[in-house]
Amino acid sequence: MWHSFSEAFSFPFMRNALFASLLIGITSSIVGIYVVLRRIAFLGIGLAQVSSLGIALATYLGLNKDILSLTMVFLCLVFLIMATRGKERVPREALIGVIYSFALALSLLLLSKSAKGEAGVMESLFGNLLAIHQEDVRNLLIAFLPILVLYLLFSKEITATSFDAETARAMGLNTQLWNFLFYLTVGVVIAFATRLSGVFFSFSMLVIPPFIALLASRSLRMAFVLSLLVVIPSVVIGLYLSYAWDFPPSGMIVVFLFLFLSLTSMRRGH
Amino acid sequence: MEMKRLLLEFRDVYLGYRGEVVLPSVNLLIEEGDFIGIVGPNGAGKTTLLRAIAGVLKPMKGQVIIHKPNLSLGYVPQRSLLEETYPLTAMEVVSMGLYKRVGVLRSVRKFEKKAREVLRVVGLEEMEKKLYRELSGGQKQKVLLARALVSEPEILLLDEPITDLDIASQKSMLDFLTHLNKEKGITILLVSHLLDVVAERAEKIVMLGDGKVVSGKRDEMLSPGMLREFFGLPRRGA
Ligand SMILES: Nc1ncnc2c1ncn2[C@@H]1O[C@H](COP(=O)(O)OP(=O)(O)OP(=O)(O)O)[C@@H](O)[C@H]1O
Ligand SMILES: [Mg+2]
Repeated sequence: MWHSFSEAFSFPFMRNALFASLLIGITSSIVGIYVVLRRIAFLGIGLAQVSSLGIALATYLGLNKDILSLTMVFLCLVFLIMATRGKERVPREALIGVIYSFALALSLLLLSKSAKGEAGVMESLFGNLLAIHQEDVRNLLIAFLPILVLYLLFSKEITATSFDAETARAMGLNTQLWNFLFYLTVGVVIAFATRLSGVFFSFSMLVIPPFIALLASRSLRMAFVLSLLVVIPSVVIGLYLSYAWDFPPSGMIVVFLFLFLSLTSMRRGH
Repeated sequence: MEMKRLLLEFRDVYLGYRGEVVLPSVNLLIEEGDFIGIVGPNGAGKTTLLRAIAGVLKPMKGQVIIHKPNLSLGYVPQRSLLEETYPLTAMEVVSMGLYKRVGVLRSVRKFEKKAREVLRVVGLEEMEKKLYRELSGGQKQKVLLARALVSEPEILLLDEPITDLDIASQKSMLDFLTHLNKEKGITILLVSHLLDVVAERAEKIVMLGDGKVVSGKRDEMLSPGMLREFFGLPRRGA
């Protein structure tokens, strides 16, 4: 049964879901371009799981979820940076994997004792875009708008620092500052996105649109534009169809991203 | 002989990573208009020294004194250390050389004319829209040189810029560097393990090896004793 677009989005919960996933999708895919280029995509899912653990812990202890999950994500980032300062005996990637598993294990234990039980585990993984309140959307806007402005204004500094930090530094760029801001934004994006949409959705948004865009791009500028061109329709159509066909929205949106991915790879295979 | 202006000075500088010394007690003078070759076998610390001169690596001990305020430098990193996944065009890479000059909030677009001009100078005017990662090794090297030149530096630091080039390109690159040095007065520090090539062009030579750093005029440095000590066989412990 085909409901009309305007009908679907006339409900406040659908509008909140739309605005929130657009904000998450757009911000994640911009930040995610650098995450993918720096070969730290795995960090995305590791941090998302840590953030999810923070949320579970906050629920358990009755603390503020945003604050605790942000704190844990930052502690984890600081730990990762410190731990890889010394001689790299094992690739850092593996350490991120260990953190991911550990965070997942702890979340599982915590959630099993929570009131929601197994449903809580599902929600922490898959989120619930339809339960987002207007207030959440507002908080998301407050957190993500500065990030978008930062990447818009300073993309050349962030790019130079990612691509060739040594030369950038020799030229006089403050690469430590730009690196710090990069990781800070990754942390904020993942923490907020995970809180509202779950581990799976926040990781997908961070990695899939940039991956598709980078596959098809012949300049960095083009990669940013394509990333948005992929994520915005996926969110709108995915949400609409999830309403029309009664599917979970995050799953529907990500399936749409895969549709774009196959289209791009087909075009490339030409 | 006219007095040359002192640009940079190393006084008993120790360089290394995470507490481990690679180059102890480096003493070095760099004067305006110098053409200095930095030579030594693999792992001797050539890149390490260049990083310190560029201000990227902080000394563990000792002083690096910059005698000319706002000394502008161009840096050409060892190409093999660069990430190649980025979808950056040759033009985008060259424009990066202008980021500092363009200033934080402004677009580099206005400066593309300048970048295009430098690409022409290194012989890559046709390549500006091509992806950096899809260029040949020699072309990449030229793009990196163009990026360093686009900000019109007073001092140019090059890490193994000719290693990947064919003989003809090696010669044209070296001719070009000599031209920059002689005609434009740009101070040049050239790292290479190809001693003969460096000896042909550089007026001063810094030799590294086994944790030792010795520098001097080319003719003093090319004495048989020196060569045996730094490049000769058999080496101690080898
Ligand atoms: N980032 C780093 N961290 C730790 N040790 C390093 C680092 N870079 C270099 N080293 C060590 O410092 C020493 C000198 O390395 P460097 O790269 O300066 O040599 P090089 O003369 O440039 O060699 P090549 O000819 O191979 O480029 C080596 O023993 C190397 O292991
Ligand atoms: Mg080197």
